[in-house]
Amino acid sequence: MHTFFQRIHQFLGFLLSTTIFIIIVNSISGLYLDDSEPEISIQLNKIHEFKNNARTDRAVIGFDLHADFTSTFNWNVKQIFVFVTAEYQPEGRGKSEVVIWDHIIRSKEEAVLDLVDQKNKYVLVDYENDLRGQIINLTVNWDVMPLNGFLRLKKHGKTQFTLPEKI
Amino acid sequence: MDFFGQYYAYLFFRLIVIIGSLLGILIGFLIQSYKATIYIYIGSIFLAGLLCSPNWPIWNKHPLNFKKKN
Repeated sequence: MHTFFQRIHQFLGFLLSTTIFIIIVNSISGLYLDDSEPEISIQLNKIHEFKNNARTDRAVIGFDLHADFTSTFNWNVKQIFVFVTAEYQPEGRGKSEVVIWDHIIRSKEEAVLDLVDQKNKYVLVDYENDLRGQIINLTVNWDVMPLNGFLRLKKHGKTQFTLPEKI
Repeated sequence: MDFFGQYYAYLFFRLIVIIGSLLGILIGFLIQSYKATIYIYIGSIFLAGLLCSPNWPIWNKHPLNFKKKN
């Protein structure tokens, strides 16, 4: 402690413990603060395109999504990753889950999503031509990405529709 | 820095940083902004570092009295 650089060295060693303390408090409080239930509704607007291209079934759909993630933001949240999945159960195979759209909400100001007839970003594809006449579940999933601590995955807002039998 | 100065410099550094981090956690939690926590914490670190690292005259108030040469 008798020279300038020895003091700096000692102080930096002490700062490690206080920094870890702040991080632990922040990450634990994030787990307990995060009990809000955002308002979410999703429904099919219309099926834009349903065809067999390059020997695979492809569907382009438009959905309406209204969601308000304002209450999810607290001092622990960095951003929210929202993605919509289409789930269906083909015969003789396991359940299929396809991500058809995603979006990153970076701040509280842009936390309200109000989409009408949003086309899917990633085409709904089935490589075994099993999409025809299939009952599709649309689900809104969101990842709460924290500044410190654990990633939290939640899902909500199911809607069902049936794709046509003929292409 | 004399021996008392070294003791008090380290004590004051720890005190200022602990108070700054607790205050930062409190204010950041109340206004729900982690940015506020970090700014208050880093501010307290700079304040404490400026006060306690350089050899200021306040840390030199207890000089050692060596025995006089006969």
